[in-house]
Amino acid sequence: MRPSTRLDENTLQGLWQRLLQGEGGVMESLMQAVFRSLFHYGTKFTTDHELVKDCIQDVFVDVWLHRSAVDAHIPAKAYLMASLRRKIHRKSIKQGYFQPFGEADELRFQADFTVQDAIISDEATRQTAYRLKQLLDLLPKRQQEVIYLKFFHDLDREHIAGVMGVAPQTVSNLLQLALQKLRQYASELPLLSLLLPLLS
Amino acid sequence: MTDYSTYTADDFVFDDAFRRWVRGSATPAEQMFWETYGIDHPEQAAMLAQARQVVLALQAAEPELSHAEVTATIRRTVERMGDVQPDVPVRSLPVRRWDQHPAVRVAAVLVVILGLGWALWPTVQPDERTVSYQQLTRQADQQLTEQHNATSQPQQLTLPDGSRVTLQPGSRLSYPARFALDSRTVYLTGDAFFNVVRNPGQPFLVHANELVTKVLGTSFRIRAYEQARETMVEVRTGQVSVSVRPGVVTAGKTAGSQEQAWQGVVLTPNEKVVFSRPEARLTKMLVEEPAMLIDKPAEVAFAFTDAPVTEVFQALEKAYGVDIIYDREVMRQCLLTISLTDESLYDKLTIVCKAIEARYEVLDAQIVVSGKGCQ
Repeated sequence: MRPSTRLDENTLQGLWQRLLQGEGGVMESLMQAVFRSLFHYGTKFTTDHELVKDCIQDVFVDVWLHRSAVDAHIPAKAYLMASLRRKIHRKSIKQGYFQPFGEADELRFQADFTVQDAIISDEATRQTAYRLKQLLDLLPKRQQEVIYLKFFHDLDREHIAGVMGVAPQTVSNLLQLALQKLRQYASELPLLSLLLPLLS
Repeated sequence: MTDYSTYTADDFVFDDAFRRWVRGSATPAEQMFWETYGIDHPEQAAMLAQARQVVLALQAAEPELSHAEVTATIRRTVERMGDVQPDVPVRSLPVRRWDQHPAVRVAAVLVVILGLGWALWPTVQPDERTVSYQQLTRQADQQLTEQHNATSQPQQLTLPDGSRVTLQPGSRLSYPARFALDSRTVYLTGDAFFNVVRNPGQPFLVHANELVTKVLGTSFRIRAYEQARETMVEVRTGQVSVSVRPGVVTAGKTAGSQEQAWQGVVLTPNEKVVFSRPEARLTKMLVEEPAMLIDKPAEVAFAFTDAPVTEVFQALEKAYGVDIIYDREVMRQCLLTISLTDESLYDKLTIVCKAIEARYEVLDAQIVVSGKGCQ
């Protein structure tokens, strides 16, 4: 999904630098630019949308409060997504309702992949799309998160590592595993793929 | 560069650069690469088209979030910012007179430049007859996504239905994350070129200032700046219908009539319509540089040997989709041996007219040739 206002990367980065240098007036434009992306990402960890919005508020207030300590070399979106992920994790533990998605202290990623039928013009393409959707659904959660950040938020390997709090090599491995599985399934299950649209 | 020649549709779907291009976030170099790749590899065309649709159709489900919710949360955050103490000590600046401050000087120059621009730019003051982008997007019954081109370069974007838009600097386009089933409605302020995916069951509507442009699948350009006196729609391919929003009091055909009928025109390729906002009048004319309607204009040669000029006119009419008006009886006598290739339409007409001692004029959306003929 697209964020509400798509600023180009340079404009966004410019606003971020100005905020870090103490220019509070840019907060509104900056938040407008990234709010939807952050909200979408946050709701992959909890169904409590109010909690996600509260956490986004906290993230931005924290950035403002500790702006001199923020590493200005990290792109705004990657920094904010990483902070939001940690914030949701901590707040959920504190409020004692870590479920429904997670085990005791692990944050679990939960995404539903969908196919927009209206965009597709022919049956073969529709089958390909549904087959891939089904394969994505079957991936382990961590691989799904890597795919989600890479394909729907255009983050690169280093920044995905920063957001998920793992080493860049781990991201490469997860991505490799995911793509391998997607291709393997794709070649192994030609018959199943015909049935998948009916099953989904 | 990666060797894409062995790629399948699945491979393209998972390729970062391909995805960026389809989703409209490619760099200019990538943009260029993919635009030409499809042309250079016709054998992969079907695969690319399939991959493109899959990239657009396969999404992660995202929850609804209203504009009001976003705004409210941002407001609360900004309020909280005011309450917290900054951790950076405010540096004291050396005192200087206010007009010595560089920012003031820059601002003063800007005021002069903006003032001049304001005075020279033909503008219109908003009143009850004009409709603003703000009003249009606020009245929309769907939740909208806005693309604002804040850069100095044209920006490419792909809409949820796969239609492509080139947004000029300073322009804004709002559209829903999912189009309604019965229509594809978008809102524009500024200047944009649209290449709309054909779907007769789901017409594509562009609301811009007081005009509504309706198409089924074609390419066209709209220039609709909020403050400008004129709004313009220019057609490249296909057919486009342009109407003035109901409620806008229009001049011309409907003037004097009791009921407020919709004022509208149908445009075909190389035609444009200009809407004068102060007069609320639509005028149809030809685009400044009519383009040939065929795919490979370079290969079309207009070569005639001792042919009646009427044949030349007919060939031009067909190639450019324009109407040329002339007196058939008079012109039939004029025989011409001529070869025309890549000149513009108007240059071709000048050459032809010179040969038969005639002249041409462009009146509204028609070309009128007048001359004494050849006896």
